[in-house]
Amino acid sequence: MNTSALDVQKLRKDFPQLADANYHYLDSAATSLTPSVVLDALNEYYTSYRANVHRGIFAEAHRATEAYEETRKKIAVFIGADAREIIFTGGATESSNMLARMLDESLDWNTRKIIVTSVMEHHAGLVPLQQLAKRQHCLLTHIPLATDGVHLDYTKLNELITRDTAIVSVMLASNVTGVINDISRISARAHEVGALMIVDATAAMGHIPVDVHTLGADVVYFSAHKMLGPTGVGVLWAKHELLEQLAPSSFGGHMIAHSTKHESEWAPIPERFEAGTKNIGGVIAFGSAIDYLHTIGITALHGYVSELVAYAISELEKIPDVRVVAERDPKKNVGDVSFSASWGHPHDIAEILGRDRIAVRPGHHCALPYHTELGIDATVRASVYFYNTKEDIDALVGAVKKAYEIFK
Amino acid sequence: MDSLYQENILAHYKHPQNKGVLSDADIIQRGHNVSCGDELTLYLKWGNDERLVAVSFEGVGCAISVSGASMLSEKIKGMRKGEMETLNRSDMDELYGVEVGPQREKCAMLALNTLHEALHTRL
Repeated sequence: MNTSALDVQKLRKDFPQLADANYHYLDSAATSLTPSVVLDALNEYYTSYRANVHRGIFAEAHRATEAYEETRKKIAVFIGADAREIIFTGGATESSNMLARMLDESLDWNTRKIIVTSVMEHHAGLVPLQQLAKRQHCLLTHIPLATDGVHLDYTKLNELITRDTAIVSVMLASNVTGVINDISRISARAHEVGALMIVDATAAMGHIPVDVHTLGADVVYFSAHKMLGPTGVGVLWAKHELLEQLAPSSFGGHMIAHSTKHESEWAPIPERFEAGTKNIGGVIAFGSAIDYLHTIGITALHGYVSELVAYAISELEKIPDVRVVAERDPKKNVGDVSFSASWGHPHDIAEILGRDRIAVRPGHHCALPYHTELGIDATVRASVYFYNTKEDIDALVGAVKKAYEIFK
Repeated sequence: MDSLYQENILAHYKHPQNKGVLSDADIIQRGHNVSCGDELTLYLKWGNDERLVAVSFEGVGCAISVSGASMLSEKIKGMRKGEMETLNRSDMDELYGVEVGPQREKCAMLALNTLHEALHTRL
């Protein structure tokens, strides 16, 4: 466990919520903790230069606009994109919903009548697609699981993704098993038949290096709050040539170039897709989160998380009748170890863990169809990030053993 | 002994009473907690005097929701509808023998809420 280049004890001091050494936060897949630099950025905006962006001509308004646009550039660098292609939203769910409405208006739904997704999707990706399919009278199909229940069955790609497919939408990493999907393999097939490739990168971003062009994606979306940023901020990225073809789905201030009593013309991209006042402070603070992640280095971060994932899987499996539902190759896992136990329900296990100040998530993790497919009602998910330690995993395993003693 | 998972709760969880399908039920009522994935189906059969003559349940859930359904099913057998309508959270706490915290409110109340739904939507 000493192979890591990260000075985790030093990094932990950057997170006020980790001040108590007896607190074991293993729920970063639900939302990550916040480092002081992000809180400082929020505080500075709200106390010294709060102003709306792209509007006022006083000094604070100028500074706020600069800081807001600076985050756009930082994100572009972070994901290998052009800053004009970055659209700020309220989170991954809003990105996904906005996108579905944008596609609704813009694609030719008469010629392509199939939407392909996967059975492991988070509801944020899945439900807007279900609704889109209903509105357009399309067929929604799902890439199935391989027999291991963790990986997608890539042998089905050619059969499922055809010339009738309008959209393929798959998550980069599962928020249940942590598995990193082979998106470039899926996008290659999507592009072969002229379909759009959409990637929900929410569980992966900030955990593994992401380059939108390497993925072969046309659209990628994610949330700030799973990668050290504040809640209420998300990103929708799309290739510029695609954005040119997409109609806005949210209307109001800032997104128009000209307006009369009855008609409006749209502003250039990306303003066209950013109606109203966004979470300005949140966006600026998100920029600080990206800076912070850069100083750690995503590759080093993932290497460290992989060690903890491997350790957690091996220790949990020593407990009788525990079934681990996770990617077993730690290098291909973003940091999630879910499990069920024949002797106890996830809510009861999480209750016992909670008493020992171990924060985990019981339930279906907004991936109900996936759990149904696995034949499990719910799982307990322990999710690991770079600020976690071997001691956190030991506390987890010790408390699961306690639960076993109670319920066996 | 654990502060929440007392002997009676664990006993009813591991060996639930009145578990199964009641084939001649008058009412079949489903209840669920979406966030937990708890599912419960309640089977009720009335006698001529408005009393409950038979009750059973099926479903999956945590120790709190399953033991609650088991203990409630024992309690309501033979009760009149009016009596069942007056049952509330404190009656459940009494059955549990411990105050179940607010985090587990939905688990603790699943069976009783499903019962009340059955009483209101029947026929």
